[in-house]
Amino acid sequence: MRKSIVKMLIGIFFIFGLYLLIINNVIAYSDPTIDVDPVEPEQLSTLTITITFDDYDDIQEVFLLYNECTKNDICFTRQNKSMTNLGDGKLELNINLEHDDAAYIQYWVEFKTNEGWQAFPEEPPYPKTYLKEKQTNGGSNGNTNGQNNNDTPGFELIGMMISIISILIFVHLKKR
Amino acid sequence: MNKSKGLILITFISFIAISSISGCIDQTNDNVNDFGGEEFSFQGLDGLNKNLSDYRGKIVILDMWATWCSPCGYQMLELEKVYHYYGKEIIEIISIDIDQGETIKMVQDYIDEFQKNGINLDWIFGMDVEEIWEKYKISGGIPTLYIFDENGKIHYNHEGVSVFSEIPSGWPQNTVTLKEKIDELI
Repeated sequence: MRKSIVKMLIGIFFIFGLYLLIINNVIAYSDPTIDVDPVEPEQLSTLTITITFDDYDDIQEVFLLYNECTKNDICFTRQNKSMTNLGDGKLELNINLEHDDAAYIQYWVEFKTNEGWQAFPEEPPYPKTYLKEKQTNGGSNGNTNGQNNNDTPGFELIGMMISIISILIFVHLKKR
Repeated sequence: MNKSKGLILITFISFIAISSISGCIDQTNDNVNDFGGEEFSFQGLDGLNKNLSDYRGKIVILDMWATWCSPCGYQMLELEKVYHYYGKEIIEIISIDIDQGETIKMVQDYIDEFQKNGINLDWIFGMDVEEIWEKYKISGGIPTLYIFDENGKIHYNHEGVSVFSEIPSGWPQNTVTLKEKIDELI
């Protein structure tokens, strides 16, 4: 009787030990750090994002996801770019900012490990970097709300009209 | 004298012709069905395809968004006010995740997260599988809203956050509210 209880206890301890072993083998990744250079980038400029992982051995692919948003809370389409591995757990990506009305850029990382895809941060809110307004010389022709509305004619229509009228007057004068 | 009149006439006609073909007139719309209403398809969170025309007879708000878009989260709160003010007999909201890289699970998790905070996003959600974004984007930013009347005709569209009825402090006082636009259709 005692022997069977002892055997049962040994069995339980064995299974429990095995369970602990499996649990401990699940790799816990420490959060990567994200650095942005320059710290205060300008609109439409190029900035460099560097990601550093403490434990990089098991990481197979790293993508940076980012998007630009305006001060009026309009966010432009998300970009998804593969990062260049610099070694020692460091990855880098140069980003060309595309929107002249962007007020900030937000970004996050997705990386593939043996356990599948993981994200950092796992969910919003994502880290943001605010952008300095680009210094421009002189005004612009067309809409000023920052929207890329190509349907709005500018002064080129007036120029075209002046050209047509000038040609017609010229033809008219020549006939006389 | 007659020649001058002719020239003036030619100039006038040229002006009208150029205006007509210039970019300011871009009313071509190949999304309109035989009855004059808009049409698009999307994949519901149940995986089934649905159409805008399934909701004819109701005012429909198309909300284009993505989970990573923080202003879109604020927009959800305003849409929740709209939905619960008018009710689903009058209005339907179709929130379409326009990011092809996102999944039904991500959208469901997003809805569940709101639910945990006591906010019920109980309208129609779906995924853009039929290039809704390409057809209806304004300048390429989200959130973007469209209001369709009961016959599916576009009544209003807006890029950026739209509020239900109360204009937050600091916003321009002439901000158009969703209530104002929806009431025009009721």
